[in-house]
Amino acid sequence: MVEKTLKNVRKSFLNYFENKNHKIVDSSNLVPNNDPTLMFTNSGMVQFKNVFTGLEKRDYKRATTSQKCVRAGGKHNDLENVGYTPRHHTFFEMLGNFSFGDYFKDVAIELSWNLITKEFQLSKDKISVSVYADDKESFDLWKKNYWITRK
Amino acid sequence: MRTIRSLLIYGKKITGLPENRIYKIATDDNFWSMGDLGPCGPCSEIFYDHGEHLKGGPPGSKDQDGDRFIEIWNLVFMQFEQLSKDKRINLPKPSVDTGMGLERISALLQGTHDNYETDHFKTLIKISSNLTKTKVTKENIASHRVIADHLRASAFLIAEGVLPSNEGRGYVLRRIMRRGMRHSHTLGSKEPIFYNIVPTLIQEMSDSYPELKRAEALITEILKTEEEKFSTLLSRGMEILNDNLSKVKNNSLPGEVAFKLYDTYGFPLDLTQDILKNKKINVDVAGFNKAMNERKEKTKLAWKGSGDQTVDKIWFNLKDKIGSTEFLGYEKKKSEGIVLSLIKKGKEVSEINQGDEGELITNQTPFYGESGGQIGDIGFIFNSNSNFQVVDTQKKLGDIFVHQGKLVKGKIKIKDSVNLVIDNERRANIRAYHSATHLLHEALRRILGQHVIQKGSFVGPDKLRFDFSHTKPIDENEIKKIEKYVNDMVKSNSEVRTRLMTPKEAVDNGALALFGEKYGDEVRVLSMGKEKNKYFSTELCGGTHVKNTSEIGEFKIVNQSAIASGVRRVEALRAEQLANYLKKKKQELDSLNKITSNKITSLEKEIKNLGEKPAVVNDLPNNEKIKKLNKQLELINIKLILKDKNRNEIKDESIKGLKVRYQLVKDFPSKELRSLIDQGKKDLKEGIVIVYTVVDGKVGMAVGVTNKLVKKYNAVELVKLGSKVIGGTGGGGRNDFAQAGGNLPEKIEKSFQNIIDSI
Repeated sequence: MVEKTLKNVRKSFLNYFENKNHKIVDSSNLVPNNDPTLMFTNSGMVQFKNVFTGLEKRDYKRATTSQKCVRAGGKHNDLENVGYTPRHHTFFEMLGNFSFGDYFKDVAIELSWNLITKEFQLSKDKISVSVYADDKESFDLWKKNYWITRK
Repeated sequence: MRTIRSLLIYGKKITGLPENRIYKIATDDNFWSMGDLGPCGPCSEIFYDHGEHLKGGPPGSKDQDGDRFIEIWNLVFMQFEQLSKDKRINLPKPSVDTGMGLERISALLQGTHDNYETDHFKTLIKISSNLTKTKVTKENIASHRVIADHLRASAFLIAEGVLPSNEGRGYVLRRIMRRGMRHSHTLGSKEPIFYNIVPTLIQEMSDSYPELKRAEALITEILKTEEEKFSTLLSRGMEILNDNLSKVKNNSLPGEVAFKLYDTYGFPLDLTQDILKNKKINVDVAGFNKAMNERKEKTKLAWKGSGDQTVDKIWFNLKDKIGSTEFLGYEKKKSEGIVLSLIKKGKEVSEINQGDEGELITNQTPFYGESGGQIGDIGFIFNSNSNFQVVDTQKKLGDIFVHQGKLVKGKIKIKDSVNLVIDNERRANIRAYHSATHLLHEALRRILGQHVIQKGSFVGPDKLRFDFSHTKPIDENEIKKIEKYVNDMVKSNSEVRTRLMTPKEAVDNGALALFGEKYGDEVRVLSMGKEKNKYFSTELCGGTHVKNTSEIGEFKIVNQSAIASGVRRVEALRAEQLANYLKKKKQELDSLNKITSNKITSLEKEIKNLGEKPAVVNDLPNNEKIKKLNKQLELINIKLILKDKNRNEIKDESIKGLKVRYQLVKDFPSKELRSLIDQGKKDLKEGIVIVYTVVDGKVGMAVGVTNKLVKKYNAVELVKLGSKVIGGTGGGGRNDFAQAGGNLPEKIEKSFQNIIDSI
């Protein structure tokens, strides 16, 4: 990545996952067309809800998107904060990669680690992670010198 | 040795993260679920440490929300499925969903923890600074951030066809826009600025989001109108605030007032606080919050979903099983087909019998399924021993065509061979109305402006209805021009062309795409109307259309109205249906004219019979003529009554030296009594005038007191004394003239006596 502009970061994220056999899918609309209970699309998974629950099938099992999102109230974002903090927005784009019954934790962690440390070249020493307390599997996958049995 | 080696575990290092930088979190922050039921599972979040110079602790610590450790990526592992409150199972094929904020990671990669310090936001803030003529400072940076952020949200929402309104999604948009505009006022800007930032936003983002470019005219128009409107609200809100300063007790403005300003005039709390600061007045923040919470509860209750229907599970199952229906209706009005599915009362069945109502799906069909505003086809599906009457055709999941209706004869089973025949005459009208809709759409954009976008459409067999964004009524002159455009294109007698393209090719060809609409890999593009070797209208459309524009026939807009804030509706007719409509309208007008002409003749005759000359009223419309002649007749009647001793009785008497007139008139209009009082006062010079009239059994009365006597006698009190007796309920007026009514004409003399007694 030459210049780390917003445009280039978006492009480089999508290309990275495209090279790992993910289909680049267009952002869905802010007004969701498959969820009458939702006011605005607020995350990348909204357009894939029916795929995750198994109702709907697509001709790909891996996808990557840059999704338009609006959060203007509710638990995620209070409109009143926007402007007064460095990171609150009403409109933002969410980058994401998705596996529909394809890869799971090991590949997901590896893909994310390589993107931020190799592609984005963030210093490893600056990275920390959180895992769910009961999720030993993820803990082990993040751990240094993690050993797995060969099947 | 070999065996042991083959069992050896093999080492793989993915990350090399030391254990002390993996934080175990036991709260819901690290457990995701789609809802109460459905997929769920643990999350793993990735954080970046921006350095010791910033406040904030690692994940899970008390001060984790500081600026130092920033979450950059959330990986969700959908491992389980929650089946009921207590039952959770492992998903056979677990999934992954991740989310990384683009603005946040870009900030990080550009060496800052502040999203607004990135290239994109700096560009927008620079324009905001230029337009508001304010340098960005520590004090005003929040306002510039708000302008940049809110412009983005507003532009993207408008590009999808969301318009500011007072409910639902439109209300959220309005609040965002108002809040942004208030900040531009705070920066001292008196002119609308938002629409002037749009070109920069488009330059920044339309590569990835071409909808912004397509909707540029609309975004500009809506932003400008809303900002102009808010300017007035801002000054009105200031007036309200000043009026309410009297309510201030203990130097504290009531919370409800602050909330009203917030809610109705778009004043955020901090603006109100800021204005009052100079006057050393606080705002009752607790009261404001209370009102705000009540409002939030209400909004929550009011938001009952968008009203769209969730797609029933049955269609997903059917789509897996039978795939999509092939639509033959662009070319054919009848075809054969195989019955693939039968549905009765929402459930799949293997056969339906005579009298059953239900839904029938075939492998292919000429029936158009309702979509894009075009109504579904009706017709018959039959074979040698059965007949299914189709009353509507719907499209499910994009490409399953569902025939709804009733089996009027015989029995139909799955796999039966059937004939499908649509009502072709009805479809011919629908086709013409659909093509007319395209011409109308383009004509509206040419005459009213490029901000016109389709907000809704109904294409039926007997009319068309078209809803579009436009903020004011269309005047007669514009309507004429719009109709002329459409009719000229109809008369151009030109072929309608259909092409299949990719959505990108279509847009490159100038096709008008609907906002907020999802299109597949291949789209149909309809072009029609000849204009200097080019097409007048090019639009993406899956509907059915005429082959030649001449089939549309004469076109006319017959109705327009406003259906929501910023949305207008027009209704139009064409061809024979238009002719019938106009004929009926003319008949109605003719018969109305006949009735009013007769009325005029009879009024004129009546006036002549009374020996007067009817007023000359030739230039006026009929209803005005009638009004004028009625007035003339009334005046003649008044004159006649006053001349007729049987209908006008006057008695002047003197009571203790006070002159009192009693006057009783018949059929004299109550509203004209004042003229008799005035005449009486003139005649008596000094005294009291009491007048009664009886019209259709009802009594009207009036009392007049001459000027010098009003200190002694009050007309209102006198009229009350009189009206009591004739069954009235009081009366009113001034001390020199008062009126009342009643319904007991036989008590008039007694009423008069009651007044006299008091004198």
